[in-house]
Amino acid sequence: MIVRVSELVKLFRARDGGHEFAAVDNVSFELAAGETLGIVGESGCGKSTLARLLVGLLAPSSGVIEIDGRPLEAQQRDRRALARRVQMVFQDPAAALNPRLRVGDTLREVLSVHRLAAGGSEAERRVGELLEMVGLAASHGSRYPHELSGGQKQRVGIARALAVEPGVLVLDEPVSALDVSVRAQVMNLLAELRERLNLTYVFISHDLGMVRKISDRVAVMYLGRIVEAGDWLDVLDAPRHPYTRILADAVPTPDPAAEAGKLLRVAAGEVPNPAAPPPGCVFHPRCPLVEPICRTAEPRLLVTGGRSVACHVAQRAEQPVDAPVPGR
Amino acid sequence: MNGAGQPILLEIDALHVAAESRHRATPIVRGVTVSVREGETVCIVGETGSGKSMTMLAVMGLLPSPPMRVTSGAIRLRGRDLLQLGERELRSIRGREVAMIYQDPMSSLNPLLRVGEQVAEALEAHGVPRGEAYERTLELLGRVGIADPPRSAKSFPHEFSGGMRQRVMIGMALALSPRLLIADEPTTALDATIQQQIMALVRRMQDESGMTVVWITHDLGVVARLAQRVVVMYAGQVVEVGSVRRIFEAPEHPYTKGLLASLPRTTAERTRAPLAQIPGSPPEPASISAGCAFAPRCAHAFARCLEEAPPLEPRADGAAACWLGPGGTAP
Amino acid sequence: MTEVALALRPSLAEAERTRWWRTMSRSTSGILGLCLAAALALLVLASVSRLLPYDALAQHPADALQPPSWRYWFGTDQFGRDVFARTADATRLSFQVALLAIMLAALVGSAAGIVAGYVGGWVETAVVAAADILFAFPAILLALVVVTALGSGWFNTALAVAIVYTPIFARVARGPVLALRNREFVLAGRMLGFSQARLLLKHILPNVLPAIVVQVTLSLAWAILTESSLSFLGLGTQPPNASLGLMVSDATPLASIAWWTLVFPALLIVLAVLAINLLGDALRDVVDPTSYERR
Repeated sequence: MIVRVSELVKLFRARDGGHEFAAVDNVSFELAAGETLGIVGESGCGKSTLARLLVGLLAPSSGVIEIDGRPLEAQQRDRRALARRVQMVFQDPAAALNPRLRVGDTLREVLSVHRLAAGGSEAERRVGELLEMVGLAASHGSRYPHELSGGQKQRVGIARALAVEPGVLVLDEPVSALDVSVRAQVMNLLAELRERLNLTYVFISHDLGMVRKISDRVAVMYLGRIVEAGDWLDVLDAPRHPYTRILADAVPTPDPAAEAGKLLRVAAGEVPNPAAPPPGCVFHPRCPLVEPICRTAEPRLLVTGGRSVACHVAQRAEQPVDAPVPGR
Repeated sequence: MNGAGQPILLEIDALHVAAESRHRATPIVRGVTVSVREGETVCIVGETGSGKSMTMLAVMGLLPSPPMRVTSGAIRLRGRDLLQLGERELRSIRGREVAMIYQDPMSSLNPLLRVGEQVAEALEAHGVPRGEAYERTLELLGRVGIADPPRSAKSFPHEFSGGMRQRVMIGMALALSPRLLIADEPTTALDATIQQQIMALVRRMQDESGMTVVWITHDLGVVARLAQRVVVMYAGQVVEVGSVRRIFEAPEHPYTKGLLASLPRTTAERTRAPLAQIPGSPPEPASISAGCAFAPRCAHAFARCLEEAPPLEPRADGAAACWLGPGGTAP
Repeated sequence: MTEVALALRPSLAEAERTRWWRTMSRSTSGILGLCLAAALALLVLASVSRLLPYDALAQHPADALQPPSWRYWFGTDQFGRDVFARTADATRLSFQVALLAIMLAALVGSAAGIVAGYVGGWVETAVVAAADILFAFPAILLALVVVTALGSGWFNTALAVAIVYTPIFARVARGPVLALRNREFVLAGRMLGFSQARLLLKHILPNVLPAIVVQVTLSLAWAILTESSLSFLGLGTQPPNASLGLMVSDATPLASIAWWTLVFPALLIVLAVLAINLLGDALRDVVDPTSYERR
């Protein structure tokens, strides 16, 4: 397993009240090299926090993250070693680049800090290679970010992440901020790079269509917890958790025939405040299948045949198989 | 279904809007002609630079001017040319006949005023007396699905979630029962389940009042779920118009085709085949080439496309602006 | 990016062609400021290089209190000193003090502000509190207190002004840093294992610089006025050295009989402040290569 996350918890202090709450609550999963895990969820579900935990920008409150067999260390001296194992691509391509640096200089800096290029000319060559790898011309290196389009900026962001040759990429909504007609280009680039460099992806998105396209497995998050996980087709087409069903239904697809009649089928309720989660199963106030036990006892993420669901009702319907390893 | 055969409510006729700075005028809306019938739900689809928002802001008379300015064209609401009206007349039309809701409800709600006050203000501005305005405010808040209207009315916008703020905006917009609601990407910043609620709310309000809705979006899923008719815009022009079924099943314009083809399939196929991509990016308004604006990215472009911009011509059940013949056949 | 901003951005080619000189020369205030600043610089240069016919300190008692003439362009004061030479020298001194003071303030204040904004925690609290305490004093009063403690003279005046204007730089520098430290490109740098020093110097500082430069131009004008006020009150520059404020102070009892001793120094104060403000406005447009939407 190239990525192993075990009982990961991240606590924050609430802005006003001062009491602690879990933005990520007991998340566990594993990924083999070359696999892609798609993570879906709405705001407050903790996917962005999870992304930052995975790349070491935040330190976990408890739990373990292992990449390439070694746990993450956030200390400065090992930051560089960590950087070469896992990198992130951000949602906002413009904010992800220093506006005062030319694109080539941004890449050169990464190479120089990590001593990946012996001298000026080798750095030049490597920068050119990186740019071409992401579908840009070497001449783009002399441009400033504001002179590039959104899609081009995102390609630079990908090039920068790959400059240190990581094995794992965390992609936090990589195409959401791009024009619709450009998204396919970047998605195709990501898929191609994955094949070429045998990368492992953690792909976070609210766009179920893109998640379907690129993921091998999918995990659905709600209020910091994984509520369902498994093969992408199973989870998205035959969901077992009521929230996954509601989410899959709520996301409109570009197919008028399939969409007919869906407009007035509405899920009630608001996404609750992560700082004040409901007791028992955190989804119970909005759940159409709610039962008394849901209000008091939080369901465990239980594995059955490669799928896991955290729902009392769903689990009762299955033949639960007690497997000690969550998530796989 | 509402729409077909109904009288035309809004008619945008060869509208041109330009952004004028000291040195040059950059065309933003380049000859847009669209008509919307009473009771219809029309979705305007476009990306950055398509001119979709500016077109609708022009309808409301709310173009950020300077630098934007309508340079030619007409906008007729039930026959009256809105561009010829003075500010006072426009003000009486805004809210009463046409209303608009925006993407970011936080910026359209005054953070320092209680929510109830703001909704009531919308009513009072159009002559509703104070007491009655408050009653109707509570009723409106209830209609748009806000819990406990008396208490909510006393709250401030920052105490509400994004979805609830958007409901308040809808309440304000619908306070005077306008005939036309323009929605400029109102759910883009909202979660999927909340987006679903808002879309359903607007449809419900529409069913109750027979209101016409023009919904601007870049999300083709929203279009598929909501629209009866679709207007596709690119680089400041309308490139295709048609019924929602026809647009998705048999698009005429290469841009529409390319856009639809580039979306991930929603089928159960297990394939790692790449998505069909359109090369390049949408052009910036200042650097639109001569001829068809989409030609640089079009796989079927030929000589004429680069020289002359194709006019919007009737096709199938709508229109398309492309030199290729119907069905994409060569001319 | 909104459609408005997109529309107003110059095309790629135009962006490359716009050099800073053209940006400056496009604004009339910039040109005016430049001309004024050039004239003042000439004046100071003439004084420093001793090209003027008369020395600022040389007295010609026989020619005391003469109105402006071809010989003495700005006339003479009660000691027969050439007012033009004195004014030129005073302008030099005023700028000297103001520049020294603001450079000090900018250096110390910005450093404190940047570190406070980036590191946060008790360091930030301490810096902000210190700045707030200094802000509580009216500028002139604080300068007076410092000068009284340190003693008068142009160098101490510069220190006093520096102390007065350090907190504003701390505040101005801290603001952008708060926004920047969570910007994705800074996070990316952290993720890539960049050292704190590299992030601060290479990534954060250059993006804070525009705000600092703007503040420098604003404060410079006030520094000149503060120095003039202190000298006017007798606590700044001491005679026989000339500063514009001191000249105005000396000239006040003579104003009714020798208007030139008052008007010219006062006029120079006004012109200096004006030049700085105009230049500052134009400089702002130049300093930030990414702020095209401001056009």
